[in-house]
Amino acid sequence: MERGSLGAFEELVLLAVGLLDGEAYGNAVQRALAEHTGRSVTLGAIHATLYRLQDKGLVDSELGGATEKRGGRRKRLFHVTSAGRAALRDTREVREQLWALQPKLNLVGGR
Amino acid sequence: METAHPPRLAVWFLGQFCRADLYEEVRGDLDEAFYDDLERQPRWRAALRYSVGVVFFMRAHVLRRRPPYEQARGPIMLKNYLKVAVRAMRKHKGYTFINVAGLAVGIACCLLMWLYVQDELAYDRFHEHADRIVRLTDSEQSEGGGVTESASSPALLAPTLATDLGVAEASVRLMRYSVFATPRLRRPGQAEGTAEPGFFFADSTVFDVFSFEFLRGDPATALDQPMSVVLTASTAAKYFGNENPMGQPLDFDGKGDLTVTGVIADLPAQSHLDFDFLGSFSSLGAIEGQWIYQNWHWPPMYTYLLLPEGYAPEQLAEQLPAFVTRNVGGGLRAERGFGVQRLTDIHLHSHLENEIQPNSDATYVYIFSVVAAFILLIACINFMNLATARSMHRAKEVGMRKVLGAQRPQLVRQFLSESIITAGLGLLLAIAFAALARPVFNTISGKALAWADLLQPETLLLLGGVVLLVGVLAGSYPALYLSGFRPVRVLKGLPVRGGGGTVRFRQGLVVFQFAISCILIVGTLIVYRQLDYVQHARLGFDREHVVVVEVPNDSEIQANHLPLKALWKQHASVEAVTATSGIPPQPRGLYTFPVVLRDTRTDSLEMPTLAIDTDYAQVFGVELAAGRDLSEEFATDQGEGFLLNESAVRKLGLHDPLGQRLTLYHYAGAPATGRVVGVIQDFHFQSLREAIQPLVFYTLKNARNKYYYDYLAIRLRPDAPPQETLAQLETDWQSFTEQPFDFFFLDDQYDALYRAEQRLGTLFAYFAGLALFVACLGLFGLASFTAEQRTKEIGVRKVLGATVPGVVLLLSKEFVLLVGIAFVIAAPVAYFLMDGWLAAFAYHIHPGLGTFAFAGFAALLIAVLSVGYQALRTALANPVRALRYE
Repeated sequence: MERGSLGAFEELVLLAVGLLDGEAYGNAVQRALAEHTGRSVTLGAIHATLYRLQDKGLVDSELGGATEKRGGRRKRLFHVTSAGRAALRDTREVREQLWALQPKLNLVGGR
Repeated sequence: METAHPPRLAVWFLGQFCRADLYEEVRGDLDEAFYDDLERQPRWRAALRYSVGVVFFMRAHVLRRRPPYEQARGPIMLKNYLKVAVRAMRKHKGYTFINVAGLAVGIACCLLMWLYVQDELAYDRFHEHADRIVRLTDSEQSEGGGVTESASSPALLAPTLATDLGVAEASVRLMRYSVFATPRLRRPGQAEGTAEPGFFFADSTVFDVFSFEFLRGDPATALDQPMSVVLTASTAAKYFGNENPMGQPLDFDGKGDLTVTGVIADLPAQSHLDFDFLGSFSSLGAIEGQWIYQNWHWPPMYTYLLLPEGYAPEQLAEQLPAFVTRNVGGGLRAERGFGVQRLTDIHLHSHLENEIQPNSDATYVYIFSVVAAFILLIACINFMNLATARSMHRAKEVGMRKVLGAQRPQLVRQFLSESIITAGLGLLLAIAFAALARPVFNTISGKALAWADLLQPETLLLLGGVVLLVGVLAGSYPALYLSGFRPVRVLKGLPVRGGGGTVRFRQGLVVFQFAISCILIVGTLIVYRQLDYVQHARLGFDREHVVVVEVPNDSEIQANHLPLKALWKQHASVEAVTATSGIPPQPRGLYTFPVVLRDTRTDSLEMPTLAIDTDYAQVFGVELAAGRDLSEEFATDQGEGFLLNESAVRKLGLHDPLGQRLTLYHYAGAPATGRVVGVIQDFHFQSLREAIQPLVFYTLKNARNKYYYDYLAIRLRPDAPPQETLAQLETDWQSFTEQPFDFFFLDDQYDALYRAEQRLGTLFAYFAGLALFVACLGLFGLASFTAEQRTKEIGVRKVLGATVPGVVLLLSKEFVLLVGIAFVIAAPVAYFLMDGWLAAFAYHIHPGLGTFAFAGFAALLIAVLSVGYQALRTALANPVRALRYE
């Protein structure tokens, strides 16, 4: 999988995992996204994205603690790998380059 | 809140489709979110969110698939499977033996049958243009609407077709000279010739149509000249040894010398054409006269055409009726028709009059293939039955494996590899069986399968396929069944499954096995009884103690046999002598001629006729229904006496046949006119497949007609010493002619008549025996297993006073019941199938209850014996030993 192919939603989820720093499991990511972007995303979509990121090698995971509310089931805690950080950086650089190339006038007018 | 729980449907859905390794955390996350939601929202909203979450989770890459890290695969596991399989098979040797032996028998049957079918299908394929060669057949409509179709056709057909339609690239006519009489061939210098029934004459184009391998000579010109002949290699060796036969002369029946112009390799066994000599067609005219080429009446020629590429035989067939109208004259036209057969269809599908050699029958090929496949199926069923029956034994093993992390697919593979190894061992044994059975099989089937045929690459490939197929077929049910056990239940010692379904399935399979066996037994019995019937049926004449002597063509004896007859009759051991144009059971010598009833009618009726001599009824032991036998005491009998059989009397519509005047128009010479002097009871002149024909027996005034008296028949007294008598007869014979004294006993002719049926019977018997054997192996295995399982129960029963017979009955009644059910199913099926076969005989047995009862009883008896041994052993065992383990 090429590094550049990070989708918009994947980027958001990846950033949220980074933000949560070792405490990122499905529900925590859902809450973080709701809090910071105002978007309400279904848990299923977040799980699916997390596993895809793991398949791409951008996050890694281990099993963490269980709580009563979870029916004694353990959480899977995700953290960003160095490849994930590199992907985020690449995406950001590409975006900034593109921003830098935007004609000012258009930009002003756009506002 | 305590009562609220996530929506069941969504949870079930997740469980069904989620990857097992993700389930825990995903379910945890979902549940956590659900209970969080419940604190703020009504339950339905939380449930909705839960369900939506489940649905959105379902992406292709998280759907159920094998986790990459949990399963070892490849050579390591393969080695493990092998080891486990070998251990399991070693541990239960009896069980392994039953499986391997059963499969081996099944595979061996299939192997031999496959070779047999291959051989049958290969017939006539060796010709380069086999796909484009057709044979023309000749059908004649006889009086009363019956149509006889003959494999041979008239001489004018091929040349007329060439000029009229001209579609064929080449055409050839072949004629077997022995339609006249078997010719004798002799090298000049040799004292006596050899009878050669395999002498054919053929157009010089024969090598354009057919592909025969030339060892010497040039196919393009070999048969161009009159009086030239091509030999097969073994014939050439027979006459010329190691000499070069090319250009050498051979005397043909004292009618001229033929020159050898070519030698071809011996014909492959898979050829419906069967000849030793091919004489050039132009010689035939030189020997027999030009009339032979010029007629539409008489069909002795086998006519083959080589059609152009892409020209369908059906296209040709469509044009033939118009062709007949254009070219065949007068009275012949209405009753004449020609048909087209593909060369490659002849061996399996053609059963006409005058075939070059008796052909095989596709039906039998199908029957045997199906039967062989069924035997293999029965063996597969044994495997399935025993494996599932033994599941209790292996349930703990499966449970333990699962606890230690074995996945279901791994267990399936383990069991499948076990069954494939069993099948593989079965295959090795099967090859040995097939090699051992080969000579017997060759004798029964009349084939010459070689050892090497067993090990053809494609055969081996096929066998590999069969092993895999059998392994998977036989192993799949046990594999799926065993691998589905729930380890907790198994290890707790609870019953593994509902059980009822499996037991019923097993019983169903046993019923199936025995139904097949019963059908085969009934089939065998019926074939044998019919054979017995046709061989010992009252044919209406006495075929014992009759010597038949072939009269050579144009011999002194054919010209006038009366002096020899008079000489023979003087011997004390000779009861009577007669001459005739045909000998039962061959239809040869029966010619259909117009007959006119002079007293009542002026029109003629076509009737089958037979030329005979005085004392015919006495020699053949035929009963007279009215009048008397032809006798020398009445001078007019010779030439003017007629006999009719009862069918002929009916057909002619005569109420008082004796003294009726008849005129019979035969081929050559003046018509025979005279009176009916006797009526003989109907007898089976032909085989029992044919209905009795009306027959008119006539005599020839002067016996100087070369086609009619072909045989002399002599009835010996029952106490006559055969060797001595024959020697006397021969001495007398040689005082009239130098031709050899060729004789046979009439009853010997009958053995050849039903050879195909005899083969069918023998093969059926073998197959039925094998099927029953394999089915009983399985039953034996099942019974021993049941007995073993119920050891404790039996122990308790015996302690409480059960008798040995009671216990035996208890253990065997289930199986007996199953075999009984199988029989009830099999009987009507067998009846239906065999009824179809019997219908091919005009005279056949009507299988009664006895046949079926016997088959059922036999199956039952054998089943009881195989079960009973186990039952008895268990019943006799000391109950203390059974119970001590508690």
